[in-house]
Amino acid sequence: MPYFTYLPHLAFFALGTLLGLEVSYKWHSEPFVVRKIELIPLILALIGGGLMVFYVPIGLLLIGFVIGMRPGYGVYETIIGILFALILWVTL
Amino acid sequence: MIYPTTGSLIYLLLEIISAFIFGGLLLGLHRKIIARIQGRPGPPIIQHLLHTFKFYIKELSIPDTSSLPLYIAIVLSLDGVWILALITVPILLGPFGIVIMCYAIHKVSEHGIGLASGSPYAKTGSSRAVLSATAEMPLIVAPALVFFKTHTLMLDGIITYQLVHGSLFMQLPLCALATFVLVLSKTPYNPFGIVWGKDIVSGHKTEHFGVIRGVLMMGEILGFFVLLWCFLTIFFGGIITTPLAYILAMTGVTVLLAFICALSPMVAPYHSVMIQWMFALLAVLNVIFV
Repeated sequence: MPYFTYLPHLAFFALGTLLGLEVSYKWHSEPFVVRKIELIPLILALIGGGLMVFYVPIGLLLIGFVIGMRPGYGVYETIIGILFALILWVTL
Repeated sequence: MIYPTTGSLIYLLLEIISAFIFGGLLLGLHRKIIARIQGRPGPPIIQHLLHTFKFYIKELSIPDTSSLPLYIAIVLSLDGVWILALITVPILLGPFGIVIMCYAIHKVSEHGIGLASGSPYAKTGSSRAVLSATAEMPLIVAPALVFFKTHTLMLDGIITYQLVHGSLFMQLPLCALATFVLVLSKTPYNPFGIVWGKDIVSGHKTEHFGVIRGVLMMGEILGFFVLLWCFLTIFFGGIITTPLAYILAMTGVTVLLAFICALSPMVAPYHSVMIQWMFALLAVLNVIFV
Protein backbone atom coordinates (compact mmCIF):
# COMPACT_ATOMS: atom_id res chain seq x y z
CA MET A 1 0.00 0.00 0.00
CA PRO A 2 1.72 3.25 -1.14
CA TYR A 3 1.89 5.26 2.07
CA PHE A 4 4.86 7.17 0.71
CA THR A 5 2.45 9.17 -1.46
CA TYR A 6 1.66 10.91 1.83
CA LEU A 7 5.34 11.32 2.76
CA PRO A 8 5.37 14.99 1.61
CA HIS A 9 2.30 15.66 3.76
CA LEU A 10 3.85 14.03 6.82
CA ALA A 11 7.27 15.61 6.26
CA PHE A 12 5.85 19.10 5.72
CA PHE A 13 3.63 18.79 8.82
CA ALA A 14 6.55 17.61 10.95
CA LEU A 15 8.75 20.40 9.57
CA GLY A 16 6.01 22.94 10.24
CA THR A 17 5.62 21.84 13.87
CA LEU A 18 9.38 22.02 14.36
CA LEU A 19 9.55 25.53 12.86
CA GLY A 20 6.59 26.63 14.96
CA LEU A 21 8.24 25.34 18.11
CA GLU A 22 11.55 27.08 17.44
CA VAL A 23 10.06 30.39 16.30
CA SER A 24 7.49 30.57 19.10
CA TYR A 25 10.18 30.11 21.73
CA LYS A 26 12.10 32.97 20.09
CA TRP A 27 8.98 35.14 20.24
CA HIS A 28 8.00 34.09 23.77
CA SER A 29 10.87 33.39 26.11
CA GLU A 30 8.98 34.37 29.26
CA PRO A 31 8.34 31.61 31.88
CA PHE A 32 4.57 32.13 31.81
CA VAL A 33 1.91 31.86 29.12
CA VAL A 34 -0.09 34.87 27.98
CA ARG A 35 -3.38 33.55 26.59
CA LYS A 36 -4.43 35.68 23.66
CA ILE A 37 -4.91 35.35 19.92
CA GLU A 38 -1.84 36.61 18.07
CA LEU A 39 -2.01 38.20 14.64
CA ILE A 40 0.84 36.47 12.78
CA PRO A 41 -0.09 32.90 13.82
CA LEU A 42 -3.72 33.67 13.05
CA ILE A 43 -2.82 34.83 9.53
CA LEU A 44 -0.61 31.78 9.04
CA ALA A 45 -3.41 29.49 10.26
CA LEU A 46 -5.93 31.09 7.88
CA ILE A 47 -3.55 30.88 4.92
CA GLY A 48 -2.69 27.29 5.86
CA GLY A 49 -6.35 26.39 6.19
CA GLY A 50 -7.05 27.87 2.78
CA LEU A 51 -4.11 26.09 1.16
CA MET A 52 -5.22 22.78 2.72
CA VAL A 53 -8.09 22.77 0.26
CA PHE A 54 -5.92 23.45 -2.80
CA TYR A 55 -2.44 22.08 -2.04
CA VAL A 56 -2.32 20.06 1.14
CA PRO A 57 1.44 19.77 1.90
CA ILE A 58 2.05 23.54 2.06
CA GLY A 59 -1.19 23.98 3.99
CA LEU A 60 -0.02 21.35 6.46
CA LEU A 61 3.30 23.18 6.79
CA LEU A 62 1.54 26.36 7.91
CA ILE A 63 -1.06 24.60 10.06
CA GLY A 64 1.73 22.53 11.60
CA PHE A 65 3.60 25.77 12.38
CA VAL A 66 0.68 26.98 14.47
CA ILE A 67 -0.02 23.57 16.06
CA GLY A 68 3.62 23.15 17.00
CA MET A 69 3.98 26.48 18.77
CA ARG A 70 5.10 26.60 22.37
CA PRO A 71 2.61 24.73 24.63
CA GLY A 72 -0.15 27.15 25.60
CA TYR A 73 0.20 29.22 22.42
CA GLY A 74 -1.47 28.76 19.06
CA VAL A 75 -4.49 26.86 20.37
CA TYR A 76 -7.20 29.30 19.27
CA GLU A 77 -5.38 30.08 16.03
CA THR A 78 -5.23 26.35 15.22
CA ILE A 79 -8.94 25.91 15.82
CA ILE A 80 -9.78 28.95 13.69
CA GLY A 81 -7.51 27.77 10.87
CA ILE A 82 -9.00 24.25 10.83
CA LEU A 83 -12.55 25.63 10.96
CA PHE A 84 -11.71 27.93 8.03
CA ALA A 85 -10.39 24.95 6.07
CA LEU A 86 -13.58 22.96 6.79
CA ILE A 87 -15.81 25.87 5.74
CA LEU A 88 -13.85 26.31 2.49
CA TRP A 89 -13.99 22.59 1.78
CA VAL A 90 -17.74 22.45 2.32
CA THR A 91 -18.54 25.54 0.30
CA LEU A 92 -16.21 24.85 -2.67
CA MET B 1 1.45 -11.07 -1.39
CA ILE B 2 3.43 -8.50 -3.33
CA TYR B 3 6.89 -9.90 -4.06
CA PRO B 4 9.74 -7.35 -3.95
CA THR B 5 12.02 -6.81 -6.93
CA THR B 6 15.48 -5.30 -7.08
CA GLY B 7 14.01 -2.00 -8.20
CA SER B 8 11.73 -1.69 -5.21
CA LEU B 9 14.34 -0.94 -2.55
CA ILE B 10 13.70 2.80 -2.89
CA TYR B 11 9.99 2.07 -2.50
CA LEU B 12 10.63 0.08 0.68
CA LEU B 13 12.85 2.82 2.10
CA LEU B 14 10.26 5.52 1.42
CA GLU B 15 7.56 3.39 3.03
CA ILE B 16 9.74 2.82 6.13
CA ILE B 17 10.44 6.55 6.42
CA SER B 18 6.72 7.36 6.05
CA ALA B 19 5.82 4.81 8.73
CA PHE B 20 8.53 6.19 11.04
CA ILE B 21 7.38 9.83 10.71
CA PHE B 22 3.69 8.98 11.03
CA GLY B 23 4.26 6.61 13.97
CA GLY B 24 6.33 9.25 15.75
CA LEU B 25 3.64 11.88 15.24
CA LEU B 26 1.00 9.45 16.55
CA LEU B 27 3.00 8.78 19.71
CA GLY B 28 3.47 12.53 20.16
CA LEU B 29 -0.28 13.06 19.75
CA HIS B 30 -0.89 10.26 22.24
CA ARG B 31 1.27 11.95 24.83
CA LYS B 32 -0.28 15.36 24.13
CA ILE B 33 -3.81 14.05 24.69
CA ILE B 34 -2.79 12.34 27.94
CA ALA B 35 -1.32 15.62 29.16
CA ARG B 36 -4.41 17.62 28.23
CA ILE B 37 -6.65 15.14 30.09
CA GLN B 38 -4.40 15.60 33.11
CA GLY B 39 -4.81 19.37 32.90
CA ARG B 40 -1.30 20.05 31.56
CA PRO B 41 -0.36 21.66 28.23
CA GLY B 42 1.92 18.72 27.50
CA PRO B 43 4.87 18.48 25.12
CA PRO B 44 4.59 19.43 21.43
CA ILE B 45 3.32 16.70 19.09
CA ILE B 46 6.76 16.54 17.44
CA GLN B 47 8.41 15.76 20.81
CA HIS B 48 8.68 12.00 20.33
CA LEU B 49 10.40 12.41 16.97
CA LEU B 50 12.68 15.14 18.34
CA HIS B 51 13.71 12.96 21.27
CA THR B 52 14.45 10.07 18.92
CA PHE B 53 16.74 12.27 16.80
CA LYS B 54 18.21 13.97 19.87
CA PHE B 55 19.49 10.72 21.29
CA TYR B 56 21.42 10.02 18.08
CA ILE B 57 23.76 12.91 18.91
CA LYS B 58 24.06 12.17 22.62
CA GLU B 59 27.05 10.44 24.14
CA LEU B 60 26.83 6.67 24.33
CA SER B 61 28.03 5.57 27.75
CA ILE B 62 28.20 1.85 28.35
CA PRO B 63 28.06 0.59 31.96
CA ASP B 64 31.07 -1.42 33.16
CA THR B 65 28.71 -4.14 34.37
CA SER B 66 27.16 -4.61 30.93
CA SER B 67 27.62 -7.50 28.56
CA LEU B 68 28.80 -5.43 25.59
CA PRO B 69 27.81 -7.65 22.63
CA LEU B 70 24.35 -8.26 24.10
CA TYR B 71 24.03 -4.61 25.17
CA ILE B 72 24.32 -3.37 21.58
CA ALA B 73 23.14 -6.30 19.46
CA ILE B 74 19.82 -6.78 21.26
CA VAL B 75 18.76 -3.21 20.53
CA LEU B 76 19.66 -3.58 16.86
CA SER B 77 17.69 -6.84 16.76
CA LEU B 78 14.62 -5.08 18.17
CA ASP B 79 14.82 -2.51 15.36
CA GLY B 80 15.45 -5.24 12.84
CA VAL B 81 12.39 -7.31 13.76
CA TRP B 82 10.02 -4.36 13.47
CA ILE B 83 11.51 -3.29 10.13
CA LEU B 84 11.04 -6.91 9.02
CA ALA B 85 7.44 -6.87 10.26
CA LEU B 86 6.80 -3.53 8.54
CA ILE B 87 8.18 -4.71 5.21
CA THR B 88 6.52 -8.13 5.32
CA VAL B 89 3.04 -7.19 6.42
CA PRO B 90 1.90 -3.56 5.82
CA ILE B 91 4.04 -3.08 2.71
CA LEU B 92 4.03 -6.52 1.06
CA LEU B 93 0.77 -7.86 2.61
CA GLY B 94 2.49 -11.07 3.63
CA PRO B 95 1.71 -13.56 6.41
CA PHE B 96 0.54 -12.25 9.78
CA GLY B 97 2.54 -15.04 11.41
CA ILE B 98 5.67 -12.95 10.78
CA VAL B 99 4.24 -10.18 13.01
CA ILE B 100 3.51 -12.74 15.74
CA MET B 101 7.10 -13.96 15.58
CA CYS B 102 8.43 -10.40 15.56
CA TYR B 103 6.26 -9.58 18.58
CA ALA B 104 7.68 -12.62 20.39
CA ILE B 105 11.25 -11.56 19.52
CA HIS B 106 10.35 -8.08 20.79
CA LYS B 107 9.48 -9.63 24.16
CA VAL B 108 12.78 -11.53 24.15
CA SER B 109 14.56 -8.28 23.26
CA GLU B 110 12.91 -6.45 26.17
CA HIS B 111 14.18 -9.19 28.44
CA GLY B 112 17.67 -9.10 26.94
CA ILE B 113 17.91 -5.30 27.00
CA GLY B 114 17.15 -5.33 30.70
CA LEU B 115 19.62 -8.07 31.52
CA ALA B 116 22.42 -6.72 29.35
CA SER B 117 23.29 -3.71 31.50
CA GLY B 118 23.50 -5.21 34.97
CA SER B 119 21.35 -2.47 36.52
CA PRO B 120 18.80 -3.61 39.14
CA TYR B 121 16.08 -1.39 37.62
CA ALA B 122 16.68 -2.85 34.18
CA LYS B 123 16.77 -6.39 35.61
CA THR B 124 13.42 -5.83 37.33
CA GLY B 125 12.03 -4.52 34.05
CA SER B 126 13.28 -7.58 32.19
CA SER B 127 11.77 -9.89 34.83
CA ARG B 128 8.46 -8.17 34.33
CA ALA B 129 8.90 -8.58 30.55
CA VAL B 130 9.12 -12.34 31.06
CA LEU B 131 6.06 -12.27 33.30
CA SER B 132 4.10 -10.13 30.86
CA ALA B 133 4.97 -12.50 28.03
CA THR B 134 2.39 -14.85 29.52
CA ALA B 135 -0.12 -12.05 29.05
CA GLU B 136 0.32 -12.17 25.30
CA MET B 137 -2.35 -14.85 24.94
CA PRO B 138 -4.43 -12.60 22.65
CA LEU B 139 -1.43 -12.60 20.30
CA ILE B 140 -1.90 -16.35 19.78
CA VAL B 141 -5.65 -16.65 20.20
CA ALA B 142 -6.74 -13.84 17.90
CA PRO B 143 -4.79 -14.90 14.79
CA ALA B 144 -5.82 -18.53 15.34
CA LEU B 145 -9.49 -17.55 15.43
CA VAL B 146 -9.05 -15.29 12.39
CA PHE B 147 -7.45 -18.24 10.57
CA PHE B 148 -10.36 -20.53 11.48
CA LYS B 149 -12.71 -17.91 10.00
CA THR B 150 -10.82 -16.87 6.87
CA HIS B 151 -8.65 -19.98 6.28
CA THR B 152 -5.62 -17.78 5.71
CA LEU B 153 -3.12 -15.64 7.61
CA MET B 154 -1.93 -13.80 4.51
CA LEU B 155 -3.01 -10.19 4.83
CA ASP B 156 -4.14 -9.90 1.23
CA GLY B 157 -6.31 -13.00 1.75
CA ILE B 158 -7.82 -11.56 4.95
CA ILE B 159 -8.57 -8.28 3.15
CA THR B 160 -10.17 -10.15 0.23
CA TYR B 161 -12.29 -12.21 2.67
CA GLN B 162 -13.56 -9.03 4.31
CA LEU B 163 -14.33 -7.35 1.00
CA VAL B 164 -16.59 -10.34 0.19
CA HIS B 165 -18.03 -11.28 3.61
CA GLY B 166 -17.84 -8.02 5.53
CA SER B 167 -15.50 -6.83 8.25
CA LEU B 168 -14.25 -9.34 10.80
CA PHE B 169 -15.06 -6.81 13.52
CA MET B 170 -18.76 -7.65 13.05
CA GLN B 171 -18.09 -11.40 12.99
CA LEU B 172 -15.48 -11.65 15.77
CA PRO B 173 -16.08 -8.57 17.99
CA LEU B 174 -14.58 -10.05 21.17
CA CYS B 175 -11.58 -11.24 19.19
CA ALA B 176 -11.18 -7.66 17.97
CA LEU B 177 -11.42 -6.47 21.57
CA ALA B 178 -8.70 -8.89 22.63
CA THR B 179 -6.45 -7.63 19.82
CA PHE B 180 -7.23 -4.05 20.81
CA VAL B 181 -6.06 -4.86 24.34
CA LEU B 182 -2.89 -6.25 22.79
CA VAL B 183 -2.32 -2.96 20.93
CA LEU B 184 -3.08 -1.10 24.16
CA SER B 185 -0.45 -3.12 26.00
CA LYS B 186 2.19 -1.85 23.57
CA THR B 187 1.17 1.80 23.89
CA PRO B 188 3.25 4.11 26.14
CA TYR B 189 1.78 4.84 29.59
CA ASN B 190 -0.72 2.00 29.24
CA PRO B 191 -2.23 0.26 32.31
CA PHE B 192 -0.33 -2.94 31.48
CA GLY B 193 3.01 -1.12 31.09
CA ILE B 194 4.69 -2.86 34.01
CA VAL B 195 7.91 -3.40 32.04
CA TRP B 196 8.79 0.29 31.93
CA GLY B 197 6.89 1.51 34.97
CA LYS B 198 7.97 4.67 36.73
CA ASP B 199 8.51 2.68 39.93
CA ILE B 200 11.57 1.16 38.24
CA VAL B 201 12.75 4.42 36.58
CA SER B 202 12.51 3.37 32.90
CA GLY B 203 12.46 -0.38 33.40
CA HIS B 204 14.50 -2.35 30.90
CA LYS B 205 15.58 0.84 29.10
CA THR B 206 17.07 2.50 32.19
CA GLU B 207 20.72 1.95 31.32
CA HIS B 208 20.52 2.44 27.56
CA PHE B 209 21.69 5.93 26.65
CA GLY B 210 22.72 7.93 23.64
CA VAL B 211 22.59 6.39 20.19
CA ILE B 212 21.32 3.08 21.58
CA ARG B 213 18.30 4.83 23.15
CA GLY B 214 17.58 6.54 19.84
CA VAL B 215 17.66 3.19 18.04
CA LEU B 216 15.35 1.76 20.73
CA MET B 217 12.84 4.57 20.27
CA MET B 218 12.88 4.09 16.51
CA GLY B 219 12.00 0.41 16.99
CA GLU B 220 9.15 1.32 19.32
CA ILE B 221 7.74 3.80 16.80
CA LEU B 222 7.79 1.22 14.01
CA GLY B 223 6.31 -1.44 16.32
CA PHE B 224 3.42 0.84 17.27
CA PHE B 225 2.71 1.59 13.59
CA VAL B 226 2.78 -2.10 12.61
CA LEU B 227 0.48 -3.21 15.44
CA LEU B 228 -2.02 -0.43 14.77
CA TRP B 229 -2.00 -1.21 11.04
CA CYS B 230 -2.47 -4.94 11.65
CA PHE B 231 -5.37 -4.38 14.04
CA LEU B 232 -7.19 -2.14 11.57
CA THR B 233 -6.51 -4.39 8.58
CA ILE B 234 -7.50 -7.67 10.21
CA PHE B 235 -10.77 -6.41 11.69
CA PHE B 236 -11.73 -3.46 9.49
CA GLY B 237 -10.12 -4.47 6.20
CA GLY B 238 -13.43 -4.33 4.36
CA ILE B 239 -13.95 -0.67 5.36
CA ILE B 240 -10.45 0.80 5.51
CA THR B 241 -8.86 0.29 2.12
CA THR B 242 -6.88 3.45 1.16
CA PRO B 243 -3.76 4.98 2.75
CA LEU B 244 -5.71 8.12 3.72
CA ALA B 245 -8.35 5.99 5.44
CA TYR B 246 -5.59 4.20 7.33
CA ILE B 247 -4.05 7.52 8.41
CA LEU B 248 -7.39 8.80 9.71
CA ALA B 249 -8.30 5.49 11.38
CA MET B 250 -4.91 5.12 13.05
CA THR B 251 -5.20 8.67 14.36
CA GLY B 252 -8.65 7.89 15.75
CA VAL B 253 -7.47 4.70 17.44
CA THR B 254 -4.50 6.59 18.90
CA VAL B 255 -6.88 9.17 20.41
CA LEU B 256 -8.93 6.34 21.94
CA LEU B 257 -5.80 4.68 23.30
CA ALA B 258 -4.70 8.01 24.80
CA PHE B 259 -7.98 8.38 26.65
CA ILE B 260 -7.70 4.85 28.04
CA CYS B 261 -4.08 5.36 29.10
CA ALA B 262 -4.84 8.70 30.75
CA LEU B 263 -7.89 7.52 32.64
CA SER B 264 -6.77 4.11 33.90
CA PRO B 265 -4.15 3.35 36.56
CA MET B 266 -1.24 1.03 36.00
CA VAL B 267 -2.20 -2.40 37.29
CA ALA B 268 0.04 -4.69 39.30
CA PRO B 269 2.08 -7.26 37.30
CA TYR B 270 -0.05 -10.30 38.12
CA HIS B 271 -3.27 -8.37 37.56
CA SER B 272 -1.90 -7.24 34.19
CA VAL B 273 -1.40 -10.87 33.16
CA MET B 274 -4.82 -12.03 34.40
CA ILE B 275 -6.71 -9.19 32.74
CA GLN B 276 -5.14 -9.95 29.37
CA TRP B 277 -5.82 -13.67 29.84
CA MET B 278 -9.45 -12.79 30.49
CA PHE B 279 -9.68 -10.94 27.16
CA ALA B 280 -8.11 -13.90 25.38
CA LEU B 281 -10.73 -16.18 26.98
CA LEU B 282 -13.48 -13.82 25.83
CA ALA B 283 -12.16 -14.12 22.28
CA VAL B 284 -12.38 -17.92 22.49
CA LEU B 285 -15.93 -17.68 23.86
CA ASN B 286 -16.78 -15.41 20.91
CA VAL B 287 -15.98 -18.20 18.49
CA ILE B 288 -17.74 -20.90 20.53
CA PHE B 289 -20.99 -19.08 21.19
CA VAL B 290 -21.35 -16.67 18.24
